Amino acid sequence: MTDDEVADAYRRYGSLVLRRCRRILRDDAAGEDALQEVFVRLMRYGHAFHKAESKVLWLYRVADRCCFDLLARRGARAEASADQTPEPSHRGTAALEDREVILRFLASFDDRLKQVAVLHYLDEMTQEEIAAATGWSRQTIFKKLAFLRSRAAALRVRLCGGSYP
Amino acid sequence: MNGHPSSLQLERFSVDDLPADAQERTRAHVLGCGECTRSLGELDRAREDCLRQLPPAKLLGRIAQKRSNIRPRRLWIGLSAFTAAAAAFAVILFFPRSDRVQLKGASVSVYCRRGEQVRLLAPGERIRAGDGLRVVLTLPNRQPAAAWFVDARGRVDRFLTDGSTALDAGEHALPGAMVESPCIDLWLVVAAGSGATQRLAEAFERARRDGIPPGERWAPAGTVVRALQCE
Repeated sequence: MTDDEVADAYRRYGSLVLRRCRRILRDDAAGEDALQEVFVRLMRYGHAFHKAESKVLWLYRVADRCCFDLLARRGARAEASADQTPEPSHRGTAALEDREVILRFLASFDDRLKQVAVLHYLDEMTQEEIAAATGWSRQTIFKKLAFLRSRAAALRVRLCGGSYP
Repeated sequence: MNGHPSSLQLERFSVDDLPADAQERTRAHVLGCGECTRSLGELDRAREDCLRQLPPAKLLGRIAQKRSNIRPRRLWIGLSAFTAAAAAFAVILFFPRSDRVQLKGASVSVYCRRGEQVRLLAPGERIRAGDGLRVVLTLPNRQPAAAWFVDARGRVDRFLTDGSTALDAGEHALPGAMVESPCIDLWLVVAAGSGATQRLAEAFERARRDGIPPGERWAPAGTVVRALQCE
């Protein structure tokens, strides 16, 4: 891809990619690093981007990959920061949602679980949509979501104390 | 439209990325929904902030900088790799081992859970209803791969479809599968390399069109095929 094409794609989709990266990584600076990496890959694999039916979905898959790589690299640090007291919420810690808990501990999951977690908790996809997006069976998605829910319950206890809901 | 569009749908809508009918449905919803209008406003503001903080020219500059930093390192990596390869070649040449194992291409192992027992399924060994199957794909180097099951009815279950994502060298355990009741013969077809998914999709489509019964003949040349027949 030429510089002009990359710049055009960035003007149109850059903020969405940056927003996604920041939400996955929970870190503004790391989000910008991931954003740059996404557009480096766009420059390299522009032909696939041109062919993609949905440009946003293509960029999001690349962004997810870049974020997972960054999470893997900073794995130990992320786990350490996850041990900190959660940010106060106006709804109280008891209302800490699965989504928040799972995204906070995303680095501790393998890449497949990360992918399912992002598609379900960030993109709000149904099981069927996740199965279509990943090519994995409904049964697999069902099992992974069930696992994520049980982990969320356990991690909520770790973050907030108290018993399982 | 029932309820609000998902956040992904709204994001795609904001950049005109949805198919025409979905774009129209979302537009109709947004016009009458204050919450979604507010979300779209936030996306617009985020776009303005992003472009103000990191204008396209600045991003391109950083990308160019990053690439120029990588090039010299790559040269050193290349030289080091060449030296290491030459040394390894010399070692292999002068100290040949009779028991060495060479990995030439992609391979698959199928593990079968029957009752409480899990064991590696030997070639030709048969499966039965209720067996749990676990496929382990081994790749000799980083490359995209596709692993699909086709059953005797011609149904396809895809374990790996994202042919654009390369998998690292080594073993990859794919999601498990249960053998249906009554048992149906299965063929596991694995393709590796760029365009693996497309090659399988085209071959399967061609086989269906030509009326070829499901089996080994569905797989394109160069793929690994493992037949799993029922008892």
